[in-house]
Amino acid sequence: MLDAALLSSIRDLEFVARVTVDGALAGLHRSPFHGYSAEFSQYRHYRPGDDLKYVDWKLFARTDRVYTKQFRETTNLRMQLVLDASASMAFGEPRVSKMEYARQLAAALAHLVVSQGDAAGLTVYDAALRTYVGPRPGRSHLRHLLTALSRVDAAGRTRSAQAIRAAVDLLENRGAVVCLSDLYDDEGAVDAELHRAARIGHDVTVFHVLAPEDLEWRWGGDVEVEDSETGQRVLTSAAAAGAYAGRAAAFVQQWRERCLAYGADYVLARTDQPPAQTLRAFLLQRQDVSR
Amino acid sequence: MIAWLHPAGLVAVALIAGPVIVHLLLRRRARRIRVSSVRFITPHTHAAVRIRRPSDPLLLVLRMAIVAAAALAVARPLVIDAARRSAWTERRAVAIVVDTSARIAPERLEEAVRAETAAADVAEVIRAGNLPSGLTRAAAWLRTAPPASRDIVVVSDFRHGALTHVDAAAVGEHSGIRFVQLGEVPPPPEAVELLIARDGLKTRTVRVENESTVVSLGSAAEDAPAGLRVVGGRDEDAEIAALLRVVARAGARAPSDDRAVLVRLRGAPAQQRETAAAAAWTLEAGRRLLHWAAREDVPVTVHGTSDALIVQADVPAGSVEAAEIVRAALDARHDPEELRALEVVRIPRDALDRWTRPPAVPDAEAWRHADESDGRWLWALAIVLMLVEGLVRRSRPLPAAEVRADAA
Repeated sequence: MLDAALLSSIRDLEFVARVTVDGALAGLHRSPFHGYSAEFSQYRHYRPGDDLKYVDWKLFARTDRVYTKQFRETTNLRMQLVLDASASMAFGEPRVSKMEYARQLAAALAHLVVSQGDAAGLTVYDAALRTYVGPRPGRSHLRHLLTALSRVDAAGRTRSAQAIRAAVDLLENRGAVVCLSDLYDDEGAVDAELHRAARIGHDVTVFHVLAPEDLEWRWGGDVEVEDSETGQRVLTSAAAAGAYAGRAAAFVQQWRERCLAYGADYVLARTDQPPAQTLRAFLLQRQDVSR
Repeated sequence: MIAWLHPAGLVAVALIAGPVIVHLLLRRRARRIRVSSVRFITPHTHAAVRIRRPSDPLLLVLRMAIVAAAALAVARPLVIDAARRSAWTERRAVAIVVDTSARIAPERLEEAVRAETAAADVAEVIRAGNLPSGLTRAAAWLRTAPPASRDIVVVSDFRHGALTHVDAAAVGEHSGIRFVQLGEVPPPPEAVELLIARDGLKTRTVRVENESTVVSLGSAAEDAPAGLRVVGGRDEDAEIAALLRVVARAGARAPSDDRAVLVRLRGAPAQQRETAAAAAWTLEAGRRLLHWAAREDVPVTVHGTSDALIVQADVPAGSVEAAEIVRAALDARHDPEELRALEVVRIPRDALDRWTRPPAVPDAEAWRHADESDGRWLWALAIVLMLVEGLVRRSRPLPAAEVRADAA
């Protein structure tokens, strides 16, 4: 799998997305994304390996034969990618920034969804809603979406809650809301909006994009730390390393538990891992859930 | 002995504390890093304010030495030793006072100034119409002149009264003074009175004839023509003698044998005119005398011969007019411009020699106006030290002033 730093050197985001998806899907049978209006098509005899949840048990009771229901998929999955483009997402240079990593992930997800005939949209925000591309199917729309993605720069402060609410409200039907952010924000407000989206019936996924330095203290000696969004400066020393790592781990764990609480998917996307690996882990996680 | 021409510059030596402050007292700035969020960071407020120990003592010493050398150079040190004092004594600083009112051709003045300037190591030309004022200015300039033997040279014709011994003495002991007298020194105005007193001249010769008295002044030779002959009436020798004394006191030009004057006063017997051609000088002198007589309304007739100017005046020998006529006749022999020059009285050379003083050697405070310093050696030292400091600094790894967290 190609790592994020290598992929970030490739300007063709569509190619990057395809490579990432190909890497993620290698060995997987199918996409874990499902439409919500799958239409019944026919029965066929059960064959070993078929998913037991599609077995028509009532028909088995009447006929004593095992049949599997087959559906005709319709293009009805509407996935809205909600991308955090605040200044904190620029962190990670010169290797690969969280912004670049999230861009690659978003492109790969859009490519994956559009490739299976579904619709993908994009919401980019920092302190306000910056870019909105409604979910639509088709290759040309995908290119339009990838172009919008490629123009995103990380800057400004973060107001995730408002952007998530706007993205959710603009989804006309039930759909998938995929949030890509480092979640350095008002946690309560963001959690409330994600919970609300899940409660409405959307398939909520959180890609928690973090750099290794977000999780571990990697600097020795006395340092003056400056917040990339607020500009706040804090004087500290290596003695704070232990406490830092513990708090970061607690932060991640807290978000994982929150997402699990209302059925949202939580994926920790570390920028030192290849995007395809992160995407694959996510797809496997979805497959496990869907079984 | 080391003297400081700009002692205020020594204050700059305090700047050597700068590198010390930078190395020892400056509170260390922590490395600054930018992170996504500071929410997990425990503040340690004292972490960035520790006093830094000298990280590189060699660099510290080099920088202090650079600052010290530069500061001392700014103060312009001057090492005063025997050799330097000797060099100062051998050097000549001359203030040349040029008398602009002197009746001397400008070319001669400038030539003298050039010669004096060339002979001096440091020279200042002061042009003054008033010599005492020029001397004051010269003395003032010499007080601020670079260390050297100091001298004032006065270039003038030194007319009487232009300078006195008081003016020369007022220059002071810190400077010598010398006088360059230009122009021909004319003989002192020889009045008739002087001529009378001089040995070897026939001071008075009275010949009494039947009709007249002739008083002659001239050379002692019996056969030589008399420079002045006054002819009056019989027995008027006393009046004529008195007349000559009056003329002498009035300061008339002395008679000369080659330009003889004959004055015939009232009472003198008539004499036939000579037919010889008149000399050029008698014509010119006669013209001047007639011009004078017309202006003064004096009854005079004049004619010239080849060797004498003959004046006929219808005035008695004992009158003032007679004395004036004799004096005018004597003066008429000379061009008026020539007379004016001859009337210039100059300060005697021996007086000027008495006022002259040798150049004054530099005094103990002369270094204050030195036009040189040894600061250049300190500047050179500072430059060399800067080069060494640069080499040493380049050989040391530089700490990053600011580091991004993700570049750690």
